Amino acid sequence: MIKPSQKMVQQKARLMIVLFALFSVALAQNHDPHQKNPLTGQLAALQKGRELFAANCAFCHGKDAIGGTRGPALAGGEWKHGDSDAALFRTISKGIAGTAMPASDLTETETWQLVTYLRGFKSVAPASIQGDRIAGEQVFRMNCAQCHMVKGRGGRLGPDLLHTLERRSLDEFISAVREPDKKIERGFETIRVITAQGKTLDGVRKNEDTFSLQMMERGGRLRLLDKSDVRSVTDERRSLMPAFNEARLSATQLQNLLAWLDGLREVKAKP
Amino acid sequence: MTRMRKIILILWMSALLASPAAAQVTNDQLLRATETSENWLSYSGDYSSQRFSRLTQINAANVHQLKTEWVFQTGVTGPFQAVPLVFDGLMYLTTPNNEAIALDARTGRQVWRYRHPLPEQILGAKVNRGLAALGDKLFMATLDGRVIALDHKTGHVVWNTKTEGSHPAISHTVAPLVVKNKVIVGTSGGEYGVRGFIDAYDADTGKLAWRFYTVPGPGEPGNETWAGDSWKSGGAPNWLTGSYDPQLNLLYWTTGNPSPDHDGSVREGDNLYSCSIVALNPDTGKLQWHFQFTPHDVHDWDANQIPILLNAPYQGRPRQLLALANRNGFFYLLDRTNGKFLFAKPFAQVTWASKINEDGRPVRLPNTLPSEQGAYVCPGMAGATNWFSPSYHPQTKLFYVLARETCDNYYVRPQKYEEGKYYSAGANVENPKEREWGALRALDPTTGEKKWEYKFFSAPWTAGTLATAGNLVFAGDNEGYLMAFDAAKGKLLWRFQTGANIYASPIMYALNGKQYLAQASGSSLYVFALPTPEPMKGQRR
Repeated sequence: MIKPSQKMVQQKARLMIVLFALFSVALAQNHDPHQKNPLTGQLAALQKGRELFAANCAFCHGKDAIGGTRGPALAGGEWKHGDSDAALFRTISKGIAGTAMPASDLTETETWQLVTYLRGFKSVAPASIQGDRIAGEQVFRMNCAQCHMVKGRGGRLGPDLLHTLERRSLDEFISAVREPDKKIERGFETIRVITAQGKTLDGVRKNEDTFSLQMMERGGRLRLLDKSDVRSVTDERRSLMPAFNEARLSATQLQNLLAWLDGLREVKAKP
Repeated sequence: MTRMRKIILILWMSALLASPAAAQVTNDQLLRATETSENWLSYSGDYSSQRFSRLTQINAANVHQLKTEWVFQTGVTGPFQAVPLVFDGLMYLTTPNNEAIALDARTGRQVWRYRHPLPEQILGAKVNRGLAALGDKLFMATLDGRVIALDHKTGHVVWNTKTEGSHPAISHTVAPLVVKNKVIVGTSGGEYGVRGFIDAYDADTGKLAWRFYTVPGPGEPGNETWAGDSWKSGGAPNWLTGSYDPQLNLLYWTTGNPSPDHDGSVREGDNLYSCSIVALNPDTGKLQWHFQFTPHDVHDWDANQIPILLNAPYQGRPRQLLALANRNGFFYLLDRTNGKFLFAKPFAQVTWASKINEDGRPVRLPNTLPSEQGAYVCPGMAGATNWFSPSYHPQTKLFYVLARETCDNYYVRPQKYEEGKYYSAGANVENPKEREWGALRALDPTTGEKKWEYKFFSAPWTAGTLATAGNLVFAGDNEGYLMAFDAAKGKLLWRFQTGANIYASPIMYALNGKQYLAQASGSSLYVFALPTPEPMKGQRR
C-alpha cells in the first residue's frame, strides 16, 4: 500500500516531469542559450542556489529572501526589474544602476542556480495539481476559512491562500501548512500587546515604528495604536496558525486543497 | 563685431565685475562658517564637522510648532544621501545619479539643473552626498570617476577632470571638501579591490595637485603590513568627507575596509591605512600621523565615519581633540595634534573585543572571526553606527550618535580577485532571532559615558543628526521620522513623518530673518520653518 506521503512524492515527481517537458519545448523554441535557465526545476540546483543566496544576497535581501532593511523581499515579492529568466540573470550578474544592487562575481552556472532558487518562490504552472477539487473546497471550509481568504470568502488574519499559492513554490506552501512557525511572513508576525490600561491584545503585526503600531487582532479587528497607549509589545516568534500535521490534515486532504486552489487560478494563455 | 554688440559686451563685462563679492563663497567664509550659521557651506557645516548651528529662532520652546514650508521633488529614485549647501538665497543639492540642482531657498523653485552623463554600468553604490563650493564654483565628484566644477549661477561646466587610474571601480560618491584653494575628494570601491586614495585638485583649473594612497606602495612605510602583493587590491577607500584644522593645518580623512572584506588570510598584517584616520598636510598631501581603529579588519567595519574636532579639558588640561564613534562599536578620543590615542569605550553592544588597550589596539576575543560555519558577532556588519553624521554641541558638551544594536553571523568564502568583480570573500546573515534596534545616544566625549538615549524601534541605518544653539538635536530614523530632541535631556519635542527612509543628515539655514530646517527623504527635500517666527537676534552678517 502506498502511504499518503509517498503518493505525494510521486505526484510531485510527475509534476516535475510535466514541467520539464514544458520548459524543454520553450528551450527548443529559443535560440539564445542565455534566455532560459538550463537548470529550471532541478532540486540540486535549487539547493545550491539556496546556499549561494545565504552567502551572497542575504545581507540585503534577508534570510530566505524575506527582505531586509537594505533590500526588498524576493520571496513572494515583486521582481520589479523583470521576472523572466534572462532578466533575473541580468539583474544578478550586472546589478541595477541607480540602486544598491551590485554586479555579482558568480559564475554562469552559479547564477542559474540562484535563478532556480528564486524561481522556487514563484508558483508552479497553473492547472497542474491533481486531486479532488470538491473535497478540497471542503478542506478549506473546515480548516482554513476561519483565518484565510480565497476569492473574497474566509477570514482576514492570515495571508490570502490563492495569492500565496501564486507567489510560493509547492514546497514552501506545504511547509507553511505543516510547520507554520518555521517561516513567518512579514505582516503576519504574532505579537502580544499589553495596553497602558493593562488589556492584553493578541494578533499579528501589520507595521510598527517607534511611535505607532498597526495590528490585527485574532478576531480580525484592526487596531491602530499609539505607543503612548501601549505598555509592551512582545514578539511571540511563532505563527498564530496551528501546525497542520498529518494527523490533523492528511496528505490526501492537503493534495485536494491544493488541487482546488489550483483550479481557481486564472490560466494565462501561452504564446 | 558691430558697435552695438561691443557696447553690450562691455556693459555685460562691467556688470560681471560689479557683482558683489558676497555672491561667492570665500575661503574666509569657509574658515568662519560656524559664525555665519545663516549659510550651510560644506557637507558637515564647517571644518570641525560638529554639525552645529548657532541659529536660535527655532528652539526647544517653540520647535513643536515647526511646519512644512515647502517640498522639492527631485524625480530621481535611489537613496537621496545629499546634504544641501545654502548661500546667498540659493540651495544646491545633488541626486543619486549626479544631477546637480539649484533652488530658490525660500520657495523651493528650481533655478537650474545639471545632468551629468553617466555610462550604463557603474560598479558600487549609486549615490552622491553633495557638493562643495568656493568662489563662483560648485564641485561635484561623480560616479564615473570625475571631479567637475560647475558655475554656481548657471550649472554650466567650468572644468571636468577624469580621475587618474584605470581601475573600473574608481567611482566617487563623496561630497568634496574645499581647503584653501584645493578640492579634496576620496574614492569609493572598497568591495571591488581598488587601491584607495585621496586627491586634491586645484579649484581654478581642475589640475591634480597631489594624491595620497591610503594603501602604501612598495618602499613606503606601511607596505610591510600587507602580505605579498595584497596591497595592490587592498581597498581602504575614502568616500566620506573629512575635517580640517586651520591652526594646525591638518586635514583629517577616514579610510574604509581592506579588500577582500572577510577573508583576512590573503592579506596577513595590519593592512595600513585601512579602517584608520590619516592626518595630512593639505598643501602637499604628506602624511603627518595616522591612527588605525581596527587593525586587520575582517568584519567590514570601515572607519568611514565623520571625525569631529572639538576642544575640551581632558584629564585636567585643555586639549585639541578628535572624537569618532566607530562602526566597530567603540567611541574613540584622540589628540588631534599628534594622533595620540586617549581612550575608547563601547557605545553599543560589542562581543569581538574585551577592550581597546592603552596603545589603541583592540584585545580580540576568540571565535569572532568569520568562518565556514559562521561566527556570531556584535556589532553586525553594518556596524554599531555607520557613515551617517554624528554631531557635537559646544554648549551641552555632548556628542550625539545614532547607535545600532545589531549582531550578525559572519561567513568566509575564499575568492580570487578579479578586476571589476565584487570582492568580499564572505558574507553575513542577519540573526533572525533578535530584532535589531537602535537609539540616539548622547555621550560625554571626554569619558565616553552615556548621558541619555532615546530608543528607536529599528536600527538607524542612514539618517544623521544636527545640533543647534536652540538647545536642540535633530535626528532621523529608518521609518521616515524626522525628530527634534531637547539637547541637554533627550526629551522628544517634535516629530514629522516624511513618508520614506531618511538617507541624509539635516541642515539649518536662515534667509530674510527666517530660520529653516532642511532634510532629504525618499526622493524629496523637506524644508520646515515656524509659522510666525520671532525676529532673529544678532545673527545678521
